[in-house]
Amino acid sequence: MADLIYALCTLTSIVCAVLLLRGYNQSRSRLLFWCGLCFVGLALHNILLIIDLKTPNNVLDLSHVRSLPAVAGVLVMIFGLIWEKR
Amino acid sequence: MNQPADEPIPEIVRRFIIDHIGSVEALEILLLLAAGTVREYTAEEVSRILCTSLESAAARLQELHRSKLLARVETANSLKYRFDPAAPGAKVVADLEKVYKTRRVSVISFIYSNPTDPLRAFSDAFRLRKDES
Amino acid sequence: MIDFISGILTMGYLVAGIFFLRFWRDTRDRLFAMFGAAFFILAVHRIGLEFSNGAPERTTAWYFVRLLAFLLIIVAIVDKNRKK
Repeated sequence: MADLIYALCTLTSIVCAVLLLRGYNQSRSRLLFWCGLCFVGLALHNILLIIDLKTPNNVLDLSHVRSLPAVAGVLVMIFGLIWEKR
Repeated sequence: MNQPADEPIPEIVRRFIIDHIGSVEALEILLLLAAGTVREYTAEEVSRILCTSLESAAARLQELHRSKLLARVETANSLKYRFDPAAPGAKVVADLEKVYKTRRVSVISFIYSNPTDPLRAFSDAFRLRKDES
Repeated sequence: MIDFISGILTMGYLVAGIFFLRFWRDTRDRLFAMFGAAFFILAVHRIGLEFSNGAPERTTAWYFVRLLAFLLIIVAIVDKNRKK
């Protein structure tokens, strides 16, 4: 059940990332670039979560690193939200 | 009458177009309603007068209403729109009309060349079918 | 260290949520309201994990909250593409 949920979360993040980065390509609006990166980070976060779920802790424990892509993504997006003109 | 080809569109009109006008259709609808001042129009009337599809006329009217340029009157069986002279951008519309009359092509190319509003770009990025605009 | 990261993430989600709410105020576009709500829910999710005594994410039902946030984003995208 958890797998399914995290998979859906990953898929949604990827879709958002793709749509935003495609939109950036078409409109050259940098805000979309930063937001797209955030969703890339969220996707990676969810993927690491799934991997961590699937592998027993003594083989691979990602609990310290799996949030890092999300942090990076969100911080980058906040930079863009503040920095870019609206 | 010779219009210097490189005379720029006045800044205030440019700003107005960037903020409120996304298409030539929106521009024509706005000018149509502004000419009528207090006259109220339904989407059907607008689409008939300007020979555009009912759907896109209705969409533009709603956009302009959201931009606060048009007031909306809801009657029992229809929605009517009229130009709102008290709207914050209303005074510029007269200038816009003048510029459009004398420099039609420049205005049209400006509408389609100007950098998109980032928020509109964000929102549009999530449209999967690009033919609706 | 984990708490520190978690704290940054929570704050990040909250700030992002506020920005999206502001975009909604400026444009009245429902998409922004839903994205804002989704980020707020992600923040709540982080906070909830924090207070479930550090239980590993796989065993807490908080993942439903995470699901809710992403479902909201899906709803926002579907809503944007519905023919009016």
